[in-house]
Amino acid sequence: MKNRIRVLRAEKNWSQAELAERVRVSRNSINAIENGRFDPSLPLAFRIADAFGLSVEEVFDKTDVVGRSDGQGGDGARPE
Amino acid sequence: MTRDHPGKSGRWALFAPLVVVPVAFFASLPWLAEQRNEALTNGIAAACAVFVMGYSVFVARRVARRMDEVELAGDRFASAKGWQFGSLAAVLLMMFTPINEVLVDLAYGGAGPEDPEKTIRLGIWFGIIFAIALQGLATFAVSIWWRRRIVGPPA
Repeated sequence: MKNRIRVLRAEKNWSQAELAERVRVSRNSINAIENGRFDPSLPLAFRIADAFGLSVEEVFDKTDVVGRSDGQGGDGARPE
Repeated sequence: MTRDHPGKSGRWALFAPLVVVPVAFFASLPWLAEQRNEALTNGIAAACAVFVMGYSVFVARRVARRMDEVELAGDRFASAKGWQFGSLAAVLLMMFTPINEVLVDLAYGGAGPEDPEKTIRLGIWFGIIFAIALQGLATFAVSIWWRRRIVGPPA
């Protein structure tokens, strides 16, 4: 799932570690989500959006998700 | 991260019993052999095995409590695939004659030539231990692979 986390972080001048601290996950996890290698759960997506003071749709690109049926298996990891 | 991670000494203290107990058990094997008391040997072996398994579950739960969802997903993936690949590797390797013969020799050496039934029992145990060890190794390898693929190489 595409997202604007990198851009939003740059606007706020936050490092990955700072954002990770705010949403209570590890920096590695933020890196995985930011690079689109892992799709966060809804609660985590809301926490990330809240950290930026935006809605989930403003952070994550839903066009990449709606209608997709790729058998992802629910572990959040993106198939290659 | 804001979650409370144990310090370096805390991590050592947490994981130490998983190493100390098996090492102490294997170190005491010559002494146990001198006692020639099968009930004592079996009792100590069972107590060590139960402790290591129980403590492993405790440590795994404690570590998982501090994980976030990305780390937990990696853990689940490694666990599921590690068991599959490890079992497959164990079956394939045990079909390979040299490996098979090493296990048979170990069982034969452990039981002695005068007790074929004990040799068979030991052989089965060594086979099970071999399979579990391979599952553990496979889980570790898959975990590293998943981490490199999803999280990226270590910074």
